[in-house]
Amino acid sequence: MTRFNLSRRQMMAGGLSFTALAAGGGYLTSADAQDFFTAMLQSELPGVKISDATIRAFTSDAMKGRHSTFAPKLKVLSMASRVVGYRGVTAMLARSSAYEQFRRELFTQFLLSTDFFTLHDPTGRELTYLGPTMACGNPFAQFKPA
Amino acid sequence: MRYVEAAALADTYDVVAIGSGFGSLFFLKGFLRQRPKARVLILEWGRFNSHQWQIENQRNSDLSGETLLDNRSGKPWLFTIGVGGGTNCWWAQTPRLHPADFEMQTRYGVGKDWPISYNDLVPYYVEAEQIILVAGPDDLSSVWPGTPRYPQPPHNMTTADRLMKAAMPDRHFVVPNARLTIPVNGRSACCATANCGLCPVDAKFTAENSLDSVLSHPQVDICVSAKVERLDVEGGRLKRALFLKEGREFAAAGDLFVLGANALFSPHILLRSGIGGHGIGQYLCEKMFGLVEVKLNGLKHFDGGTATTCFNTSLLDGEHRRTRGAVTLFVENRFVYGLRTEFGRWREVLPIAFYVEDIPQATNSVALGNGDLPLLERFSYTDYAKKSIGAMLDALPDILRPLPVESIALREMLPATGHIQCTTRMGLTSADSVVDRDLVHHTLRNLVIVGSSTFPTTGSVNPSLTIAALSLRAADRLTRSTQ
Repeated sequence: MTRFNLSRRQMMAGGLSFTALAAGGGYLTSADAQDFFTAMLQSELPGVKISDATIRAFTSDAMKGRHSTFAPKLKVLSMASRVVGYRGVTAMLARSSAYEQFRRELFTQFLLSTDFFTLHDPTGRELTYLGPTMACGNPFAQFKPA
Repeated sequence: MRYVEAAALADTYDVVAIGSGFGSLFFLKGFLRQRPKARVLILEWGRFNSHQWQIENQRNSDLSGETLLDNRSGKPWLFTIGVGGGTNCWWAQTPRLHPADFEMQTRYGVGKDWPISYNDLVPYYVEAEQIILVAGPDDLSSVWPGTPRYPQPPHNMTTADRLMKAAMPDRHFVVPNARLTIPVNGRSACCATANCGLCPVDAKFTAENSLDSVLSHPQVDICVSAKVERLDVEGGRLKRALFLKEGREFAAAGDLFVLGANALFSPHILLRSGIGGHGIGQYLCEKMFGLVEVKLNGLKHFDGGTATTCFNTSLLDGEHRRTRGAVTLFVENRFVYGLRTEFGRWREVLPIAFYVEDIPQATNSVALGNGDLPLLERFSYTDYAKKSIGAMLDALPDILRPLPVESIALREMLPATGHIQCTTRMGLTSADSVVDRDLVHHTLRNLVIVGSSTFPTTGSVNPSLTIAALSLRAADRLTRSTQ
């Protein structure tokens, strides 16, 4: 499991900038982890129907067993994504290999926790959340010689 | 398994084995076949953590390895303490060493020759592969002469592997491994979970699922939570192993001692016991281990049948080994860095793991230190190994030419392989080694040292199969010589 190493400086700069942008502050500080995942999935999976309940369940599973710094960093990303959007955050952190790794890992975890890869047309119907798999979780694996 | 309390040991045993990993258990497997009435005691520092316990707790042992060392080397060391040792945590790859790995000094003028040849080990490789139930292809004799049909059929290659295989049939092979393709005796077939250190379906070989013939042999006693402190020598022979259990010291007497406490603790026990030999604790070595990510253009990956599907021998052997180490490349069929995020291109990525051979240096060592813990003061890789990484990156575009490659990037060098080696090396004389060609200590002739600590050089592949084969050979040689 990757530890997302958003630096302290990045966190502070990001946090301060976005907090300053929000005059009232409440809008931003009410952001939670789910907001970042929602923004990410809407951006990376255009046209794919994902319910709030699915993202909520995924968020809960994704937070389990993480380092204590994971949640605060995710909160900063969620706040940032409310202001500049997921694409904006990703552009800002384009040179951060840790961020790149973080979003790929979470994106992969999400797809493999749903029936996405079993659908002929993933935009055809709402995804079903299956949850994380402990065993045999590669949906592409072929066990008989081609 | 028959557990025995420290206070209830027999007066003496025919064999006292220290540690219960690949080295000790395969030695005992061979030994008990020839001497089924021999009384055997296994002294194991850890306890028995069942497969179920390991899955529930998501770790291989209740003992944390790093707390057991005085580690100032700046590098982590990975090992498992407990019944079964490394059979619990291994990734279950079972390549053989290459014939040239045994003759590095003669062929390339570097390192040290082994006192045995590849051919000496072939019958025992075959035997170990049968015991482990290796799944593998039938075309490996060009790399490892004398490889018969493996007991299990090979795992499925990925589509990328097939393209590579078609373009270089003599250099790209399905990697043999101890993850079953056909379920046997309670072991499941591998389903490509890719968490082999803690295989959730018990598909890989472990001592628990496959060496019951040793662990539950009627002549074998097992004393767990027994930490061997030192070995007692009298009249030029080992007499007893002194060990701590629950804060009290006990002794186990025996005729033959088998030391297989891994390449950190075996030399430490010898040093604490004042037992000599050239280079005890020195030449501590691990291969370098890294990961490359290849982004593909229009080719989908991850459709193989197990975690690591193929290995590539393009950089395994050749004249380059005069100046830089061998490299073995492994195609990973697991989401090492995740899928790609570009819509529709999720699977267009291919992770490659690689091992780089290094030359053992006397300056890397396990020492006594001031306390009870093995001291690891410093560790460094040689330029011989480091140079190989750049050369590999230069060579990869050509090696991967059969694939529609978009980009190749070295993602990371990992800090440890868990392949700790070379601290009680084998050799021809006591002037250059600790044990002889049969793993018997040069001067204490009733001491056999097993495990990767006896390797004179590292090669560039996983060591477990070679450990098993060396132990089977040592048991065979010893029982024949004393018949």
